[in-house]
Amino acid sequence: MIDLSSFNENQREAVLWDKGPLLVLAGPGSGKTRVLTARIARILEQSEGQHFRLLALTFTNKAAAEMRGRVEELVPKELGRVRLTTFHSYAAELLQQHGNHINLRPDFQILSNEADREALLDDALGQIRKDLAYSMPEHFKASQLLPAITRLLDRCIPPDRAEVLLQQSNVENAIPLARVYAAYRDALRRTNSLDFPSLIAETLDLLNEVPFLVKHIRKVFKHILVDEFQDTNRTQYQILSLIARPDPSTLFVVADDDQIIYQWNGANPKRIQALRDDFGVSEVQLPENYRCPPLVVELANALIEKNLNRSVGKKPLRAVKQGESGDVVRVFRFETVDKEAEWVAQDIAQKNGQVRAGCAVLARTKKLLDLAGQKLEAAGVPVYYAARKDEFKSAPLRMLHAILRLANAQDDRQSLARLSKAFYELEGISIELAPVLSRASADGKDLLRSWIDEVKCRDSLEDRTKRLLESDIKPLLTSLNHLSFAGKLFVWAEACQASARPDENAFNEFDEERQVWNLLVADIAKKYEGEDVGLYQFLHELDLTSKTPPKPLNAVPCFTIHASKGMEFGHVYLMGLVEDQLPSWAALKKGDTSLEMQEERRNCFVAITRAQETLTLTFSAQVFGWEKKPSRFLREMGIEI
Amino acid sequence: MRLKEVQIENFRGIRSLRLPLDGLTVLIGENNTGKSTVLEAIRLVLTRGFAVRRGSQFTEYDFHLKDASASPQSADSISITLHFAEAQENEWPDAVTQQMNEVIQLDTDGLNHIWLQAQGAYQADSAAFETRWVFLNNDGAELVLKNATPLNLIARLTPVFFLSALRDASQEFGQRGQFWSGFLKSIQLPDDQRQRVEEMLRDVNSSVVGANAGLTEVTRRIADAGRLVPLDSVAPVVLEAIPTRIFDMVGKIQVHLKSAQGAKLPLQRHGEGTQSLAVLMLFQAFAAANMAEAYAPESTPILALEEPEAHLHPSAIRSIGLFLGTMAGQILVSSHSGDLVSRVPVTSLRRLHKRNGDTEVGRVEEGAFTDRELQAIDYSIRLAKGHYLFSRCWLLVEGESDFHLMPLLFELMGHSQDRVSFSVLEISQVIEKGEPFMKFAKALGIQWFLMADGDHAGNDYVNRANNHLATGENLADRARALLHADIEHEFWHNGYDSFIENMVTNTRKRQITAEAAGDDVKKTTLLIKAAIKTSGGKPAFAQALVNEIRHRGVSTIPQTIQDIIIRVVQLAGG
Repeated sequence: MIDLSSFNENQREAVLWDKGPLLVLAGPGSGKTRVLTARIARILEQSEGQHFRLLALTFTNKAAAEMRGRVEELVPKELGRVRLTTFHSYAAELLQQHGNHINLRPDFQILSNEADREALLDDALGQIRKDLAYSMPEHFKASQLLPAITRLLDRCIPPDRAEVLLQQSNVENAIPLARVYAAYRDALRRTNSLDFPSLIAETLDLLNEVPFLVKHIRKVFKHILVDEFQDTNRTQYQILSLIARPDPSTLFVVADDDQIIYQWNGANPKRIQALRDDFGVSEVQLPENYRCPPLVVELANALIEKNLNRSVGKKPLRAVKQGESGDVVRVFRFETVDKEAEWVAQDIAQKNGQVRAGCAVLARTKKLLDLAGQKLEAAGVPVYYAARKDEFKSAPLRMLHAILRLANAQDDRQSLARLSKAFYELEGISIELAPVLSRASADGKDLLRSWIDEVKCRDSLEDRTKRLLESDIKPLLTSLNHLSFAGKLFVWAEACQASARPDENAFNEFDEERQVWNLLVADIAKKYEGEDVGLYQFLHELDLTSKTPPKPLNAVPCFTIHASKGMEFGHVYLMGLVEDQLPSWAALKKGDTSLEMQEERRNCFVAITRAQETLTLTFSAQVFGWEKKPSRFLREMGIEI
Repeated sequence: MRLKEVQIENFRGIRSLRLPLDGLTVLIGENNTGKSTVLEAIRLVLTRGFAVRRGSQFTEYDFHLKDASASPQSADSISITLHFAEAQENEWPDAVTQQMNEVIQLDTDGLNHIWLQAQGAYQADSAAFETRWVFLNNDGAELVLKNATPLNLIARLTPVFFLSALRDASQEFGQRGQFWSGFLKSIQLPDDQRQRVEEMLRDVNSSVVGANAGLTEVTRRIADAGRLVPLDSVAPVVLEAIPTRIFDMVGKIQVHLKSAQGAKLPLQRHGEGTQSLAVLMLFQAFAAANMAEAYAPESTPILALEEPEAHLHPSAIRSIGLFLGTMAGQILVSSHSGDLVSRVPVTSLRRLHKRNGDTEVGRVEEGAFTDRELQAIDYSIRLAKGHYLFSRCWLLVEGESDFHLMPLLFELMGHSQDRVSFSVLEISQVIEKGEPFMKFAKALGIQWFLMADGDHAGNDYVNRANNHLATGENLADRARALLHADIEHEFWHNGYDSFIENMVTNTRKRQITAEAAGDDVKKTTLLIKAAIKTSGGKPAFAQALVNEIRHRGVSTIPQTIQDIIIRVVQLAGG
């Protein structure tokens, strides 16, 4: 039996709940991950010997991996019965297994970075421009149109309905925009690829078009659990409600309406209300806060109660931690933001190693963080930025990735172009695309083989390069054996690095990325329980994972508030508490009671509730040369200035 | 979970085959048409080693070689695809759907499908023959697996058991028998009971062995060997009349049968037929009582049964045929027995045959025949003459004379019935002028040819054959009417008139002349009728006629009949 003795009454109620659909409103630091994993373990344990599965959806790979680890500790034998994964991974899985119903092949490629999407949109624009009967506004550029395309995709608009909808909402250039949208989706289909928003949109299409698939899913997955529900966008919610509908009684949703900070990405406080309306969920609140000192909890409550659209009856946080030490909350004012950053850096630098390891600098914008980072580095403190990294930066990794993609999708011109670029940076040999393409069509070979043939024609070729492209690459070409090739390419790249090369920048971040590569390979191998993973599955996993290197042990994190979500730190430094930063300029413009202003307040709420021991709030009279007033949130928290 | 279809490419003698399966499927066909290959293919795919995605299940002898110059290294890769499917919604237990979820495909009716494929190919990298197992989607594209669980599970959910034509009862009822061992494993006594029993056994032993002084001497002598090899010092030699430990005893459990008259004998002492039956019944017992424990409650066993008729009396074979339909699990049988075929549903038959080197499957699909048609087929063919289904070609004839005469004429022309493998079927008593037979032959891939009389009714028969031609076939390829009223007239008008007339007594001839009153056609008919009567009936008449033909020479057989015989031989030759 799972030991629930260390759980409080509310937590226990949530873990043991079996009286229909449940919404758990969990404040920051309330132990919601423990509750979720204990509930999963409890259900698995009680149904030992049965074969039904549980579907638990999270928003980040990190959260999924952490929960998997905890469930494994609690009920190691039953772990195979829970599918603990992200929305996007689950969507990709469904499309791989059942996408044939909407004419998707299982080996589709995932476009994980904006550059890939932009290039594809560029292609689509080119296609339309070729059509003489049609004239498109001159100023239409891929980079500018992409956000609009993404919004349409996020809302899952069918291409043939886009025009009407755009016109109805008085969008400028509705007709050409709808046409571009259709062409982009067409291009995705043609190149057998999906970007993140279309991954979700196509999944919704699939579930809508194949109703018995939902039935099948629910026959297999008797329970559905969702973490961080407040972050779901509209399409994700539609998917969730489709699969929950056949049996809502086992729907279990954890959310906090006070932590919605992804409104710009489609999250919305209305979603929680929709959940109540659609499924009549019961509610359990977890107001107990196990993370923050009582004083921080007090500030957080004072702040968030100013928000208007909170859940009715939402209880204030209740501090469980006891005892107050002197400097739990500190507030400092500076003349300029430069001095502010300097002070933060010095304050952190003078702490001893152990305390310093628990420090984190948070800010609303990247610009402030960069400044703090510079000052920290100048003070000899290593810094860690958590930005999601969708693409490798160093030339060897870019070359490897491009080669693997070419081996998987044999006529992928984007990857061909990237391969040539990376190769040029490493070897100084320029391989033009045109001869490779004409060689490919003349010899009837795929692009990768043609590229290799083209390279081999050069007489300036080093022996090691010949070896790499003649024998080392063979297992990849003949049997898509990608793992051994990666190792050989790294060795080759090292040799390139040792000799003087035309472009030294080619090796920026090489060492870290190589480490990241090895970690990712190990993670994927673990996820597939040691099975040999096929090339396209490997690429899928790679595309769905951030290439951010792990945090070095002694580095101080400098995170935006958004990046800090779900984390906790011993000592939090929240910088830039001025009007125009936190709250943002855009929110100020929208007004005091706007949705945007409420989201800014939640941003501040999230930031301060990361603190486990101390919270330091700073602001300046002048930020980047402009006079700024102290943030209204300081006052709202009850801080006298 | 039922196997709905097997697809085989380039495996042993089969270049390409798609074989739909039922709950009970009976494979018939000549030797070398691939019946055993099909059984073996299923067995190979479902009895793979555990937890390996790659293996060497296929050896170089399994590759289909197109011609003499082909080698296994260069041969096209082997692929065996097993297609499991639901016939109606929720047919598979939830436990199956839940466990196999990762590889289940849904069709547009929401039914579950699983496609498991074993691929064998020569890998130049490793210079070895490698086998890969993959699951496919409905379009034949590979699905990606997170782990090998579905592969291991499917072998557990559809365990396959193979009983070859040479069923060895001593092996099947031995300690390692595929069904028997499961039962033995489940025998477990509580410790105290086991000790009590073993003590009793030792007592029995010592009273049997101790009763003989000679045996004590033997024990002593053998113990002397202790001087040559190290043996236990206390009691190095023990004589056991019966096993004294439970596990030992369990391993030696024997089945004894007592016949209607006579003593109880161990199964191994009975005839092969009895042994063979006992093994079949053992599988039944296993499926009913031990299956859930040995595999999973939701498992569906597949039993591949080679020639269950071996060593059995025809009536026993027919009983087995009936029994097959009642067996648990999915049964796949290969058989050469008309008796067996006569007792299984006609829709469960699959007739394998080769055409231009390719393997083809003949079958009667559900709903393709009306009840009346099936009745006709059952009455004239299946129930009594199941062996017709093993012929390569059917010659459909109108009447009794043709039935008796044609085989003899084939023989005379040097075509023995066994070598050509044809059967002559009478259709005058069959509904719809024999059309069900044509349809049936076509469905099963049996060649057929219709020989009709040269009269008005005969034309009707020929016209009906028209309804059953394959695309591109001409009526002349499948049917021919004689030039004259019937086969006797055909001979009469081709030089055998005086021979037939001479069989009739002069008195009768005079009567006939009077009766015909100058009508020559009527006179001929009456004379032929009288000749048949005089010779003692149609079979005797046929014999007499054949003796005469043998005497005169084969070339005197009417040309039309010669043509028909040549055509039938040609059809049977493929």
